[in-house]
Amino acid sequence: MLRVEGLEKKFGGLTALSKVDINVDKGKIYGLIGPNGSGKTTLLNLVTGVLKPSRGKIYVKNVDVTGKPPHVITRMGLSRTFQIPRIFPELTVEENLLAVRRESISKDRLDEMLKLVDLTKLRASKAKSLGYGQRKDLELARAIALDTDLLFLDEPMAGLHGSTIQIISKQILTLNKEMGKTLVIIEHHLEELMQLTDYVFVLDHGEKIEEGEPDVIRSSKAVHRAYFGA
Amino acid sequence: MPASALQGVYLSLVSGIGYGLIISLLAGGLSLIYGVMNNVNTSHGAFYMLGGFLTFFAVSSLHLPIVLSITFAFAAAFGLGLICLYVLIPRTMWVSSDPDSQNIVMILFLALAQVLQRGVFILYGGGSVAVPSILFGSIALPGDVFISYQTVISIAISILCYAALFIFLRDSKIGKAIRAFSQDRELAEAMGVRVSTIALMTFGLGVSLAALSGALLSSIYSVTATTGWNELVIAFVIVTFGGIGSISGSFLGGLVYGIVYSITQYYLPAYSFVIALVLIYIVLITKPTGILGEIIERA
Amino acid sequence: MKGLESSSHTPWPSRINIRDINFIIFLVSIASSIIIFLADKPYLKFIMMYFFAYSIYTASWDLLYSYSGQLSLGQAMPFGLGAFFTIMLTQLAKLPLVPSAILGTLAAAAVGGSIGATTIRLKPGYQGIALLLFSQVLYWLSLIAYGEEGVSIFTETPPSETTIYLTGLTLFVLSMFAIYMIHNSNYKLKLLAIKGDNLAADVCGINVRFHKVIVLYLSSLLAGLAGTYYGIFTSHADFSIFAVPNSFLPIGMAIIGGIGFLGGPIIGSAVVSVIINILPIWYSLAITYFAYGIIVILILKLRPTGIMGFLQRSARKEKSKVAKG
Repeated sequence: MLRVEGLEKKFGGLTALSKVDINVDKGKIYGLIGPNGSGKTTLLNLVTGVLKPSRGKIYVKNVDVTGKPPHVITRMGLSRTFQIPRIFPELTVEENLLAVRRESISKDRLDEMLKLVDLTKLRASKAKSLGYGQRKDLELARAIALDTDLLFLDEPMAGLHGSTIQIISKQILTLNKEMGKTLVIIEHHLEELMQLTDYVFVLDHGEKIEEGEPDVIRSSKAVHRAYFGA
Repeated sequence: MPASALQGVYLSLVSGIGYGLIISLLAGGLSLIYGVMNNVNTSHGAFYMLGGFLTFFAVSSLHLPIVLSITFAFAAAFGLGLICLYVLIPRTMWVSSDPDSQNIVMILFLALAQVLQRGVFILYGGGSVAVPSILFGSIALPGDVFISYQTVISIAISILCYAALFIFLRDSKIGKAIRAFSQDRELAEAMGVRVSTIALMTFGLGVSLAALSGALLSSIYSVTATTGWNELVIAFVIVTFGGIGSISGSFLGGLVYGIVYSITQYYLPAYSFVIALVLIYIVLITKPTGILGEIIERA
Repeated sequence: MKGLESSSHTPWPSRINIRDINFIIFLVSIASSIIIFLADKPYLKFIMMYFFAYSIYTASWDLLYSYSGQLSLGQAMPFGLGAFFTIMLTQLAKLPLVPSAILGTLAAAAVGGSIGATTIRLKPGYQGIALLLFSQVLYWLSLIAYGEEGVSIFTETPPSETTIYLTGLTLFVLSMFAIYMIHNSNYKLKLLAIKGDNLAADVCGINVRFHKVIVLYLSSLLAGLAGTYYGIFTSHADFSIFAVPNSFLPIGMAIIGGIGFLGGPIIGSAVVSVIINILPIWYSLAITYFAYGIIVILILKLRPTGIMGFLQRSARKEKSKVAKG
């Protein structure tokens, strides 16, 4: 579904990402973790075309998309959310979803999406009137509205708490089990993430230091060192 | 090249440097405003024009000596700038944080420029106005070229102003506050620097620099009520080139511009301005590398 | 979809269908045009011609600003090019008026759009200034090339005032209709998404650059059309058509009428067409434009949503009064 080979990104003298190889298979839920500054969001920005890599290649469904602009990559089947939600403020909740569609959508499907993120009552409200959590919901719904097979979530649980996190977890499972989407989730809420994911990648200082199933990651010395020091 | 042609280039260069230095004051003002307030002052050219007319007013109506008239223009522009910012722009937009706010401020300043221009037109008509030189006569430079005292004095004043500006920003309380604010807004605010004061001071200073530039140049060239748009564009490109918020960048950029312009003027006088504008345009469009170079948006 | 129909992109929390007010304004303007035509007062007809040209001109600017978020401080460029190209074609190529007008408009659209396209990657402030700059280039070029007198239409069979008037009315109706089509389309949502957040829109599959350029061409086409008509009914064009105050004109009119509303350009240009033709009778032109600038500033500060905004609020109050019964 997604393959990244030898990906590198330098900003002037600073190397944000070096020699990262990642393979994402269809149908699973993946985690991407690492301490702050390890390059997770940079990797996401590279994969989605927001940044151009200094070196390396990116393949979406075996097609080389290295260096292509975001809208091209999205049309190939990859969508994302942002850590701090970037919704379209002057459009209503509904319009936010309609604006990104290239084909028309049935009212039922639209209702379904709104229901999944619990924004049905606010469907006619301007997006800028939404609170933080609601904006994250809207972003999620919008990413779903793009009908992509692969969905990247950038810290979906950031800034949320307790019961809301449970709701997000449930939404993620629905996306994967019922809608058949492949998910890659960047997160700091490690426990919740470990419970959700099938496979995890760990970054530190721009390099991939570990990958494997959650149990492997939990007991990995390298990961402990990265997060907690020696 | 024949001796006279060489002389011609030489003369152009000298006056070009003079022009460039004075115009860099204008650019410095714009740079200051953009760097600190994150707003493009589209009325900057109008204040340049105002500088010329305020000086003329002081000389012809107030009968002040020329040096005092120029000082008057500087001070009056400062005061006018404070009033305009206070009355025209909503306080929350004094320092812009998003493109919408920037756009509205630009439109407001553009409207202000219209009002200022038409106001001056009503008072003085459409004719041009020139301000007497501080000192008449010229000095002979090596190479048998003459340069007017006025140009020399203007250059001296510009350099003095830059030095004064530099010291002001480095040592004075407000100057330090301005620098702190432009480097780290939140930290400065947390340390008690008031945004509104900074914005007012910066804007007043910025437009008074524009007016000073106009006052000095109106003795060499003349100004009309519709002058100022070219100057706005020139200032903008110098700021782009030198880096937003960088005073020394504007200084260098102004010099470069003055030299390039004067050379173009020597070889193609009629079209020189158009060529300059087109070159400026190309600089803006293609990768314009300011020292900051933050102009082109990513994605 | 019902949800789409009542959508508006104005900063109102209510879901009132403001299409109604806009449509009324549109109809009123057409009715007035016809009445004035029948009344056969030449001076009024002349004012209406300004109205036709300026409505389209303002709509061209508003389209660019409200729909794609691109601020043009140099809208005089395609406007003036329309006038100049059309007139020059009659003079130099000796083409009859209609083909000159069509080609002139298209040429203005092509040049305006292409120049605009070079600016889309610039930050908003820079884009506005770059466009202002280019209209300054044309200002000086046309001054050098054609002097202060400029160019005048050359035609062996000048069209009658009736023809010009009715053409203006037709162009006005067609242009407003075109804007209306965009306003009520899904395409508008895409444009507003771009305006709202370039990056997010791109990431959501919208080809931001492409659409920005399309809107620039559209905007230049409309401005060029307005300029062509302006050149025809004034039968003249000179360097002052590229001056910055002429770029400010559509901005001010949009503000007075109400930015982002369909009826905004119509009201704004009606107000301004009347002002700049009536006020100079008693006061000078300079005072007129001075007053114009002050009015724009006042409206921006006191009623930023313009006359349309005011009308819409009144309508909303009426509706809630009726609802309360």
